[in-house]
Amino acid sequence: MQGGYVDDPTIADEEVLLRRDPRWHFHFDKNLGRWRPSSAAFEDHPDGSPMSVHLISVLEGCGFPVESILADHDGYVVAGIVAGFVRANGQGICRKPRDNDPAHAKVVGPKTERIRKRFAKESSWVINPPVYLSSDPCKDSPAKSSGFQ
Amino acid sequence: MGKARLARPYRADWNSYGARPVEFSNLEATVELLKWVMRPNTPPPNIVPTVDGNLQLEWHERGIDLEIRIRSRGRYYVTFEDLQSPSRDWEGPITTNLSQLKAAIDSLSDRPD
Repeated sequence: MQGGYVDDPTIADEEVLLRRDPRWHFHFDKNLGRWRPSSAAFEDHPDGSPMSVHLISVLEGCGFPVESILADHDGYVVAGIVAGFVRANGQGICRKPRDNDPAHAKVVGPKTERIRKRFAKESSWVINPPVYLSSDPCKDSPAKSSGFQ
Repeated sequence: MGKARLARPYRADWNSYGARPVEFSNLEATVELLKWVMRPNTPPPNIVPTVDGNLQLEWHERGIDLEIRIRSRGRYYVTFEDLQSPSRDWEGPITTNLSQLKAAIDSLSDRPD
């Protein structure tokens, strides 16, 4: 597996992997009728190291709210994707805790355009896009798109 | 507000995960491509920065999912999905011959909302 990382079986398939999403990485999908992240929101680091995520179970276990991963990141939202779906698309998940981010983990494996599109369509909002975006011409309310709340 | 939103992807780490800033040359390549393929009835794309400093054009409407990643001038990667006719789906790199890409844009442009 990529860079010697090995999938960690202690991360349950039901685990929700969180990913911060800047304003430019989500838009309204008229085919689906909801706001969703772009496929570009699910890429490895430009230096080739695997994509970073945050494990919701670790955050909760430490007593941190999901909002804590948005500290100093004004304007961002949080998308979540289930570990089992990620694994079913050829990825492994490894814990990589940091001093200031004990929930940090890596998603390891090839992220082709097709796989990134699957992640984008399968993900759900854990922290929704701002309400002002409901002024989309399609009159959709972003709150409708939340899958984990 | 609009200017601020456009300005931030040109700084390093604009996605908080180490993304590279969007290069001006990639903006030029994107504008050049749009000039070649857009028609008056083509809906406007979502223009999305990518972690490697490139840009991606996305349309998700009229039953079509079309994404074009602009890697540099004349180098694109396209994924086309027709949700009404999946047998027409294709993806792959595009370089000098834009005919397949233009056909995808035409499908999108000609289809009613």
